[in-house]
This record gives sequence, C-alpha cells and structure tokens, in this order.
Amino acid sequence: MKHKLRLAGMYFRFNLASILEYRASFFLSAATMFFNNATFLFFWGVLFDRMGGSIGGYDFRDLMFIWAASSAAFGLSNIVFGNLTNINETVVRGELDTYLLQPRNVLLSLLMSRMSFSAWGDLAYGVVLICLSGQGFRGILAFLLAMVTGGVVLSSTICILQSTVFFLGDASFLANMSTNLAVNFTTYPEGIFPKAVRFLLYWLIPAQFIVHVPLRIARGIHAPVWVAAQLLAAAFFAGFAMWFFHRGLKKYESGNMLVTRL
Amino acid sequence: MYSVTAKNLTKTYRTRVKQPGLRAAFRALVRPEYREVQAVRGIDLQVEQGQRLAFIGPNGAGKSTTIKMMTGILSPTSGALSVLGLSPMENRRELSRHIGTVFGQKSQLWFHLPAADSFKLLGAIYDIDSPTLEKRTARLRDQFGLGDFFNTPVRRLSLGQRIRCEVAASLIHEPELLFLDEPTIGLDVVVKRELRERILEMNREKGVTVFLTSHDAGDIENICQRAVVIDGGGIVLDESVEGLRTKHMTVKKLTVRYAGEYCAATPAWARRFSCAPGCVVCEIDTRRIGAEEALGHLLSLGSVTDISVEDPTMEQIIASIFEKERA
Repeated sequence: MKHKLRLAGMYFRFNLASILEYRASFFLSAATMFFNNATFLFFWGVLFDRMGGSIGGYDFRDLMFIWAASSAAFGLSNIVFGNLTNINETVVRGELDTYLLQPRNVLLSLLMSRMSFSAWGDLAYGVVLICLSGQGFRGILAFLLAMVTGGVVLSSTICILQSTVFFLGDASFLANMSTNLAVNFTTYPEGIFPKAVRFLLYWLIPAQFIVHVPLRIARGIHAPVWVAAQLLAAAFFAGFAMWFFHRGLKKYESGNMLVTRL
Repeated sequence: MYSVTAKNLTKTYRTRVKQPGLRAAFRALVRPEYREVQAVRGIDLQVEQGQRLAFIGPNGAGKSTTIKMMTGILSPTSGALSVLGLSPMENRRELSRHIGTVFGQKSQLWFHLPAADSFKLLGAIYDIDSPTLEKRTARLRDQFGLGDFFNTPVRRLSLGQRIRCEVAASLIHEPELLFLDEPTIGLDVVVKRELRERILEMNREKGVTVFLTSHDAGDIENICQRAVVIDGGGIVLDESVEGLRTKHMTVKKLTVRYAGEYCAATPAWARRFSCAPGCVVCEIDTRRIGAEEALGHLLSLGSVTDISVEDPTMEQIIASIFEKERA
C-alpha cells in the first residue's frame, strides 16, 4: 500500500510539473472552465427567480450544492485520472504497451499518467461554490463525500463507456459521449425527473451517486443509510469498471504507431 | 539455463474482410466476413542466458508480434512460451520486473519533463528504494553519458540523446533480459556506435541477455552472436552471426588496378565483371572459384599497382537470405 501511495503521489507531482511547463495554457484553461461553469449557474439563478424560488422541490442553495459537487467530482477525477477520456483512443492506437510492460495495474497506471488542465478550473469552481452556498458542517462533509466517492462513480462510468472499445474495435462515439452522458444528469435537480428516469440515473448512468445522494445526506434525510449506500455504490462501480476494463484487455491487439508520452 | 523457450508458438489474428463498393459495405453489415491471419506460425526457439540474439526479418515477418508475446503484451493463440521461467501472460507483472524493453517507436519517458524525473517515476513503478535508485541513476548517467542533458525536458533532446535516455531508463531495474526493438532507428553513426558499445558492456558486466530486432545490419554484426531470421511468421534460419558470414558470404568483390590502361573481356568464372581504364572490378562466387585462383588470373593480366578484396555487407547477406527464401 505504501508503494502504491508513493507511486500515486509521484504521478500527481510529475503530471502537475508537466502541465506547469505551459503555465499560460494551464491558467487560461482552468479560468475558462471556471467561468464557463459560472455562466450555467447564472441562468439557473434567473430561472429560480421566475419559478418562485423552487423547482422540483429544490431551492437555489440545493442547486448550488449539486453544481459544486458535480464540478468538484468531475474536476478531481480528471486531475487524478487525467487519461480517463483517452482510453478509447489509447486502445485504438495500440498505445497500452507501455503500461503492460510495467509491474503495475494497467488501468490505474493509464489513468494516472496524465492530468487535465481544465479540471483544475472545475475543482476550483466546486470549492468556491460550496463556500458561497452557505452550507453547514454536514453540507460540507456531504460535499467532500460527493467529491471523492462521486468522483469515483463518475470515473468508473466514463471508464466503462470508454472500455467498450475492446469489444467494439472503435468506440469513439460512446467515448465522446461518455463524459456528457455521465455529467449532464448531475446538474439538474433530481425532482424534475420521472421515476423511471430516476431508476436509470441510479444504475445505468449513476448520476444519483455523484450528486443527488450526497445532497440528501446534506439535507439530513436518512443520512447514515445514504452514506452507506454511497460508499457501497462507489465500491461497486469502481470494482465493475476495473473488472470490465481487464476483461476487455484480454482482447487488446497492440499496434506499431510512433508514440510519445505527453 | 534458458532465458526464453518457445515451443510451436502461434499467433493468429481474426480480421474482417472488406470488399470494395457500397453494396459490399451494406452486405458486410448483415453478414460480415472474417479471415484468419497467421502472424506467427509455430516458432520453436531457445535463447540461452547471457546470449545476444538478433531476431531479424522483413517488415510484417512477425518479429514485433513475437516480442509482444514474449513480453506479455499479446497472448499466444497456441504453443508454449516461457520467459525467465515465467509465463508472460499469466505472470506479466512479475515478469516485467525482470525484463527491460526499448521500442524505438515508443517512448517511456515523459515528453515535457527532464529524463531525471522519468527515472524517479520509474523507480517508484519498480519499487526501487531511494538510495538504490540514486546509485543506479548515477551509474547509468555516467555509463550512457547523460550528464549534459539529464535535466533538460525530453522534448528538447535530439533523437540520439533521447534514445540513450530510453535505453538507460530500461535498465533502471537491472533486468536480466533486454528486448530491443529497432533501438538505433534514425540515429547517426556515432550515436549508433556508442549505443552498441553500451549494450555490449551491459551484457558483459551484468550478463544481461539481449534479444534484438533491427533492420540495421550493423546492430546485428556488432552486438549479436546469433541470428534468427524470420519470414512469413516462421523461422527460416537460425545461425551464429559468424556462421552467417562464412556460409552465406560466398560472394567476394575483387578490385585490381593496373599500371597501364588495361581492359579485358568478361571471363567465364566471374559473376560480374566491369572494366574501367586501368581498373578491373570483378565479383566471384567462391563455391565456383577460389579467391586465390581468381586473383591469380587477374594478376597475370598485367602490372598490378593495387588490389582489394571485399566481403559483402551484412545487409547484402540478409537481403540474399530473404531473396532465396522467397524464391
């Protein structure tokens, strides 16, 4: 475990050093993402005003929580697992060889070997927003839980969709949609969806476990039960993503492209 | 003791057959056709510990596929394979601690960071403790002459500097077996020579087994003891590099310069014969006529000022083996 943490720390350090080689690009990407997210919240604010301060049983403070949790979970997962959205491309181009030649878990090495520039903007936005939302101690804890375990669920969902490449040969379409599919449903109040859609949100596109369950915890609704459910869901989706990727890995066919590690 | 043992090793790919035309594309949607491509056909190979082996063949012969099976990247379709006593597919992670790999086309160094940082990261990947890592890094830095550019981001290095870093990085965990796939591709002669010397040094000092694929005859000649030629997925020749020379070096080129302007008609014993004023260039097949006898004929033709006898290059030998096999 000590070695694994040391390696994860090294990846983080060197990825950060790598993106800081291009300081201007890094700060610009992060700032652009921050303001891009802020625009959405502005429109939601206008909408809440027109609807009398409540939509689907949620007020604006709840929506701020949802956006904060969603952005922070997305940001954290793409900072730590920056190669998440490149699995399809890496496999199609036969570039997994480098990771297969190392005495490490292939999936984790692949995911951790890159860091997203703009994800820092998402994370910063999430943190700033939760501070502005006026949440209490329980709200902050629920936010942290969402950021970490929601990040795991989000990463797992994207990973599963991207890993279909092993079975489909080229899953660019699913891979390109993977992030939107996983994130889109996390930025709307749960109450606006019919029950059937909510079921899909729990299990097919597990948006519930990224933001909506943590929101229930923040609101104090059966909090201990939902904390347990959230932890179990994170473990389940992470385990399933790992299993699915390694199942697909057996079908990997490599390639002879010229490759540089960025 | 063998580093590599392969018995009847086979790799078959199933690929989709694509017929030309739109109608065929629609038909393939409903009823796709597949065909099997045998990239490697029943290879039997044993590589002794500490041996330097050249695994050569034309493009598409199955070299890279074989190496990828030996390193655990690809699983064999059938046959038995053992590398350092381990099954590459079942013990991939354990095996990777004992083998080093350099794929000329693929980099294991971080492009935006100095090689020094990549070495530290590789140290963590291979669980090397800090004092040992520092000691090994210092040794490799000296041995491969990386001192001047070790702290320069890899993207700013020349190809030669990068490859030296790549090879050094592949040795950081002190592997027992080193797979080199086109390590000198694109390098100039001086860097190639230095790199070959370093590889030989590693083999001599640490007993590292070297498994090399290269299209550069100089690599084979200068590094390897044994050459295995592969074509069409199967081994067509397994010979010592010295044997390759003596058995396949049957052509010699004789150049004789004369004091006067001399020229002769093509003799029957010559494979090729060209005449310039005062100079005869003649190619002979030593199975038909000995070099001494041929030279005797040429010397008797006039007053000789200079003689040279040239062997074919390794490149020519390999090309002739491929030509014979394909014929």
